[in-house]
Amino acid sequence: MRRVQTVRTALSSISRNKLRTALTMLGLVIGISSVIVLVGMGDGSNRQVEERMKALGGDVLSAFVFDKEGLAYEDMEALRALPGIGSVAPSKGVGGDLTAGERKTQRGVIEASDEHYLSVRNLKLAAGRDLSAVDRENRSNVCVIGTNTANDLFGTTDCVGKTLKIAGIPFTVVGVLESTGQTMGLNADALVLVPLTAATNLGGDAKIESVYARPAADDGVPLAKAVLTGYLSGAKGIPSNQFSVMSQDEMLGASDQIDQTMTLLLGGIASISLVVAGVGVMNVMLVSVTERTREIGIKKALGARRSDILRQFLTEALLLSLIGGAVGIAAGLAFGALAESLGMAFAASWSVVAVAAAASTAIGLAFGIFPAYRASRLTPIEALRQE
Amino acid sequence: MMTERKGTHAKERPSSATSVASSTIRMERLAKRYPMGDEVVHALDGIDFSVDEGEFVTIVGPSGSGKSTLMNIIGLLDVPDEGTYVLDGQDVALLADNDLADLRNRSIGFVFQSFNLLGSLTALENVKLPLAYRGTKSREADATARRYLAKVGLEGRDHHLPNQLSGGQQQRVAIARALVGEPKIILADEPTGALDSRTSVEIMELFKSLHHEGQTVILITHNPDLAEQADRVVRIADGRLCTSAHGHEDRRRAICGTAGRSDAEPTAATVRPAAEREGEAHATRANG
Repeated sequence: MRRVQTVRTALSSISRNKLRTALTMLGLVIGISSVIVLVGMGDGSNRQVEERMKALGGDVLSAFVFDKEGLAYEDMEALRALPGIGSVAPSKGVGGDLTAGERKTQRGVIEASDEHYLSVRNLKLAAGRDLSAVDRENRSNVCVIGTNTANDLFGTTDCVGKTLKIAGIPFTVVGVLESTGQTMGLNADALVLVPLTAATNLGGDAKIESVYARPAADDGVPLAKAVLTGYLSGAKGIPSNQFSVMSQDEMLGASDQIDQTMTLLLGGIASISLVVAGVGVMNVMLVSVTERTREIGIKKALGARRSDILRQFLTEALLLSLIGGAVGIAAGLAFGALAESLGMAFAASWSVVAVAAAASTAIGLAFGIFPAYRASRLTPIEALRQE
Repeated sequence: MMTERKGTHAKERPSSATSVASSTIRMERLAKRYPMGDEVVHALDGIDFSVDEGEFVTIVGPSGSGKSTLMNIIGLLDVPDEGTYVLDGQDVALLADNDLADLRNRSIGFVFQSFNLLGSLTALENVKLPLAYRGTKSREADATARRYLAKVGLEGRDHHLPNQLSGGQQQRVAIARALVGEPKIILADEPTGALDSRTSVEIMELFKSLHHEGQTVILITHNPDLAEQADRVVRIADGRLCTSAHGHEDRRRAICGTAGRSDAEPTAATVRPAAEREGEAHATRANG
C-alpha cells in the first residue's frame, strides 16, 4: 500500500469511533500538557530568581549571615573600609501591604537599606533624591520607588512628595528610579527602598542578615570575596557554616543546578502520566485489533502482506499519539499563559515543546508496535472464521 | 470443455504434456492434517487435483469433507503438510509469506458466503481494495473498480455502503472485487449460501457468464444441485476426491479414492463428528 493511502486509511479508521479516539487521546493530552505546564512553571520561577540576581548587576557580591546576632550597621562602615571593597549596602527584606489611597500593588518588593544601595546595585534616579544619612538619623519614613510601583500606586512616575502606606504606615516618596526595562516583577522597577531604621518602625528587628558589596576594581571579585570572608570569620568570629559569601556567578550557578534538578523532577513526574497514557493507547489498539480480526483476514485474503497490516495499525497508533500530543502541547501552552496572567511564573521554551512532540511520537511507536505486530500475525483462515 | 477426470480409485493421473503446460492449478498428493485432542484429523488425504484455464469446476461435499481445507489451500490461505501445489506455474512451497500474499493478490479472486465486504467502506472502495495492495494509483484504481461494478450490474451504486445494499447486491460487489485484479481464478465459497433462491439463480448466472468469457471459476458448495450447473463436478468426502461427469445419467459414483490407496477402509485415524456423518448420510440420500 502506498504511503499516502496508509495515512488516509488510518485517519478514517480512527475517526470511525470518535468517542473512543477522543478518550484515548485524553490521556496523552493530560500527560503532555502536564509536562509543559510543570516544566514551564519550574523554568519560569527559576528565571525569576535568575532575573533578580542578574538585576543586581554584574560584579556584586552577596554576603548572607545567619547566626544569632547578624550584623549591625557599624559593620557596614568597617566593610567599606576593607581593601578591594568599593561600596557596601545592607539589605533587609520587609513585608507589608503597599497601598496609596484606594490603590494597591502586589508587585512591590520592599527592601530596607541605606544611601549606598543604589550605587551598589547600579540603579539610577529619574526624579527626586536618594535616601540619605539624615533619613537614617532621623528615622524618617521615606522611600525611593521604582517605575512600576509608581505607576501601580499613583498612575504616574511623577510622584515625588506623595505618600504611600506600607502596612498602613505612611511613607513619603522622595525619589523615583529610572526604569530598567525589565519585565519581570522582582526587580528594580518594583522596588520600594526604605531606610534601615524604617524596618524597625514597621515592627522588625535591627539585625542585618544580608549585605551587598561591589568590588573596588573591575576584576576584583576574588579579592573582594576573600576580604569579606576574612572579615566575617575573623573580625566577627562567625563560624563558617553560619555565613556565606557568594559572587553572582556562583549564585547563578547554584540556581541553575536547582533549576535543572527541579525540572528533571517535575518532568519525571509528568512522564509517569505519559507512560500511563501510552498504555492506554496500547490497550485501545489491542481491542481494535481484536474487533477488526475479520477485516484483517479479508485484507490478507485480498493480498495484504504482514507488513501492510503492521503498517496500517502502527500508523493509526502514531496518528493517535501525534494528534493527542499536538492538542496536549496547545493545551499546556494555553494553561501556561493562563497561569502567567494570574501572576504565576511560567516560561515556555521550544525545547520543552520539542521534547513533548518527540515523546508523543515515541509513545505512539512504542505502544503501538505490539498491537500492530499481533494484527499482522493473524492467520487469514482464523481471522475469517471470526464473527 | 471436458478435461481428464481426476483421482478415481487407482494411481494414474494422466498427465499429458499439454495439460501440464496449460494447467492453472496442479495439485499432487496433497495432504493436510490437524491434531484434535488425541486424534489426528486427515482433512485432506492425498488429493490429486488439476484445473485448466477457463474451466468451471465445482467441488461438492458435505461438512467435514475437507472442501474448506482444499479451498484454503487452493487460495493460498493455508499450506499443505504434504504434496505439491503448482499455481500458474509457481510451486507454492517455494514461496515466502510476502510472495504468497502477492500471488494471492494477483492470481486469486475470493468470493465468500458471507460476502466479507468491509462495512465502513463504500462499494467502490471495497472493490478497489485489491488494487491498493498492488500499489495501483488511487485514480486508476477508481476507474477500474467502476468498470467492474458496472460489469456486475451495479453501476451507480459506487458510494453505497454494504448495509445499504441487498444480499445479492453485496455479493455482486464481492464478485466485482474478486474480478478487479483480473486474477487467474475466481474462488467462490458457497457464494449463494446466504441468498434466497431467486438471487442465487442470478448470481449463478453471473458466474456462468463470466465463465463464458473465459474466466476460470472454482466453486465450493455442499449443494449438489448447484454443483451440477458447472462443467465439471468434483466430489469430496473424508478428505478424498472422486469425480463424476456432468450430464451423464449414469452417475458414475466412482469409488472415491486417492492414488495408491485402498479406499475400502476408512483410515482409522480419520475422525468425523456425528453431526457430519449425519449430514453426509443426507447428502448421499439426496444424490440417491
